[in-house]
Amino acid sequence: MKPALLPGSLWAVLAAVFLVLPFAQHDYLLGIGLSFLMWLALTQSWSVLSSMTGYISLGHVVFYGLGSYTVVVSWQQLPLWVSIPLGGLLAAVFAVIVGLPVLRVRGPYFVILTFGLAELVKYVLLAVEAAMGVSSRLLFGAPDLVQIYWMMLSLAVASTALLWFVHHSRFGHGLKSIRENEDAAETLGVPITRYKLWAYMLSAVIPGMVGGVMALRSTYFEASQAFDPMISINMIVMALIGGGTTAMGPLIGVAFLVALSELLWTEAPQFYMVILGLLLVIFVMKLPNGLLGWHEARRRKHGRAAL
Amino acid sequence: MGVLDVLFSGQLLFAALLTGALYAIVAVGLNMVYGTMRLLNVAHGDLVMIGAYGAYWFFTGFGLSPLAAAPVVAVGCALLGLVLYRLLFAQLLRTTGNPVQLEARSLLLFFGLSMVIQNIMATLETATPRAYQYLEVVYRVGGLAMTGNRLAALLVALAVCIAVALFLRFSVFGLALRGVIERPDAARIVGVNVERVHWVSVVLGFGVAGVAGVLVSMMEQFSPFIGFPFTIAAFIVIILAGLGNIAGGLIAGLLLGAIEVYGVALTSPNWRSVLLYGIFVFVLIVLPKGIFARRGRA
Amino acid sequence: MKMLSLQGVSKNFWGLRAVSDVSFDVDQGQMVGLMGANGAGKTTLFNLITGHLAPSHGQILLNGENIAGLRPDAICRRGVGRTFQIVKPFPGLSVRDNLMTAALFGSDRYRNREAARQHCEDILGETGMSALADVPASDLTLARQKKLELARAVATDCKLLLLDEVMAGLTPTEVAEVTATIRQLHAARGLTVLIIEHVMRALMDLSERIVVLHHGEKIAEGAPEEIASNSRVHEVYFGEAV
Repeated sequence: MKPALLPGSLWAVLAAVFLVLPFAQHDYLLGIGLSFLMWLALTQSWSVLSSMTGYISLGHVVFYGLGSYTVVVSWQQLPLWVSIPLGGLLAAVFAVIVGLPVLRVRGPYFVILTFGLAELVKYVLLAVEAAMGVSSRLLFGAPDLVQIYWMMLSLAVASTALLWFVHHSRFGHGLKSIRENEDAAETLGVPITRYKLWAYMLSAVIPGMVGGVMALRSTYFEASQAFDPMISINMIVMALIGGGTTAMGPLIGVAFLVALSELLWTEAPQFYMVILGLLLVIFVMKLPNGLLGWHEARRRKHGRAAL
Repeated sequence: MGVLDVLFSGQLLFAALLTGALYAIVAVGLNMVYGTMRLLNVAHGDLVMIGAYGAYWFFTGFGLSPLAAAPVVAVGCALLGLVLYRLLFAQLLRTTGNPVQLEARSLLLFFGLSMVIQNIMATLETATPRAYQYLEVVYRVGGLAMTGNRLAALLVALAVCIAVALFLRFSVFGLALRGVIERPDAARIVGVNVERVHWVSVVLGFGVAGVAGVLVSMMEQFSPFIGFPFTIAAFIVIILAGLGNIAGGLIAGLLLGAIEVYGVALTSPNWRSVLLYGIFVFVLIVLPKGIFARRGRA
Repeated sequence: MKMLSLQGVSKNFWGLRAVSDVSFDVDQGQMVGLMGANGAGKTTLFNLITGHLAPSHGQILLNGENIAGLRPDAICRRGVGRTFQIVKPFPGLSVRDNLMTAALFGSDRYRNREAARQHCEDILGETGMSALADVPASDLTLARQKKLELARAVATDCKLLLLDEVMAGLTPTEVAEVTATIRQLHAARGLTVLIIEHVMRALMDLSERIVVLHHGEKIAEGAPEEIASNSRVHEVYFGEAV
């Protein structure tokens, strides 16, 4: 009884905190809250594909970047309530087009392929922008921090709902089966190609929109930053640190890293990256199932000991 | 330059050979580490970077020529590999059961290592690109103008490639290594000390990468972040050539170098990375199982 | 109409004829054994039937419909279930969740989770695994994993069940247990069963008819007693005529 109750009330408390935050009139805190919500939206979306199917995407930033680019390029031409969802849609379409050939690749090759793909898109955009004589783009008259915050909050709510839905649906069970043994899943009637494509597409939409919103936040677009591989890596590390098999994992990982980066980023970004790298090494070697997984395993051991 | 000028340019041919040879020896190192242990060493390019800085430190600190420093740097990188093997790789190999999981875990592990290595170097040396002048004498042969350092780099790269290929082909250890690459379980049964093959591969692989870095530092400027493109290039080479195939790696490396050099000449430097990553994505998609899939049971 | 009808089925792998012009029928409710030395093409034949491979020539008719070339999930939904020679459980999922996949996707009957869960409880009971329902599949012994593989295939509500060397690696007691389970399932559910087996005793016990393959070709077909005394079969297995 107890464990089920705790996450539910935790989410309620979180929701309350984030709803109230803008009214505190504290820009610095609001900025951290925005950061937290952004990473939550990104990591949870990433989980829909990677935690569920086991196809680990190391290039998820490509969706973020495409969404960013969409909003920036259509600034002044399209209203935001069109361009931001359009960014999400573009990301989804890209996922579907690229997904068919890319999802045929298994295991670690999929991982490095997604990385290579994201870098490819980045360099293509850089070359295209250079050919057009553009080195960066600026946005004037972007919405203020509070408005951006509300947008991000709705995206975080959407990603939470998405992840919850996927976890509890027949579709999600199919994805988990694909993760555990793709051949067996197909033999038992799971339409693996269709499902993998759906998962890929669903995991792309929200990051696309997040990218669009963040373009408004920075009022500045430059391809190397919008497609920065560190964004992909952060998503993976947050999910890895949180671990476990539920929607709670990303929450813990995000909280951990946002706190860490708040402490280190402005002072010593390179030091932050070293720590991030070390965390990756430590978690892979010692805690492959993340903090949640470690906690679950400990509970199971104590449970057995009690029997 | 017109297309024909490009294709027949001796200058570009030399550049293609040089780039290709560098890619080939970087790939040799990756071949050994990945081939024998199936560890996806995405930090491999960072060893090239370390080699570059190593040569730089010896040159600016002691006035030591990179060619003389190369063996020292190679040993340094090899020792680093040994330490990492003892601390991390051996345990990872021991505790991971299935090969797909091993590759996935190693990927994340090496990514973490890569971040640590790159950023420690950035803290030590800042992110500003560095360079030094060595053997800038220009030699002219026919219509071809090459600087001494590039000529030396090409010769050393080719020499290393050939040496490694010969070693693998004709030595007992080379035979054992090839056996471990192809069928580790079978190799163990016939008495090969697989663990020794592992750490020697790491030592050799890291050392060779270090030498590549020394060569790079002679010719170009370098920063803590030059590693990735070399890693990508190395992966392309070994995917194309097949795992364990050093001679094939030389050819694939030259091919890749040629595509890159001629491609850039025909378009513009902005497209260099597009070409590299484009080929990378294409190769991975076209060979979805990788040519690394272990042969199944008869 | 025959449940399963193979007509001139062949499979070539770059010059190697793994399966060569094999034809036979299986009536509804029959238990047919498939026999042959290693490399005879038995598992390849299974892979052709379940869609993991596409035939180079020939037709595979399931209840009159040619299923050659369909994907495995499409074939499963048409009522074909199979086990694998090397078991493929979902290691991180519980026994129950393993069955749930089969229930949710194997047929159209249990698409909602409540119905699927009930169906899984039934299967767990039928195969004597109710006590293991929450155990992760990776924690099971090989014998139990094989049982799970069997239960999972049955949970798809298949009409045709393909068993690929279920007995391999089992002790004689376990073999007897699995044989009993297969018979039970066959009777209770009216299954049509095609069995590949090397454990001769089990194969002879269970099969009503046996098809013998050698180097990809069918060399004999008939009742177990006929096969046991067939000179060609003896030649192939023991190198001598009866």
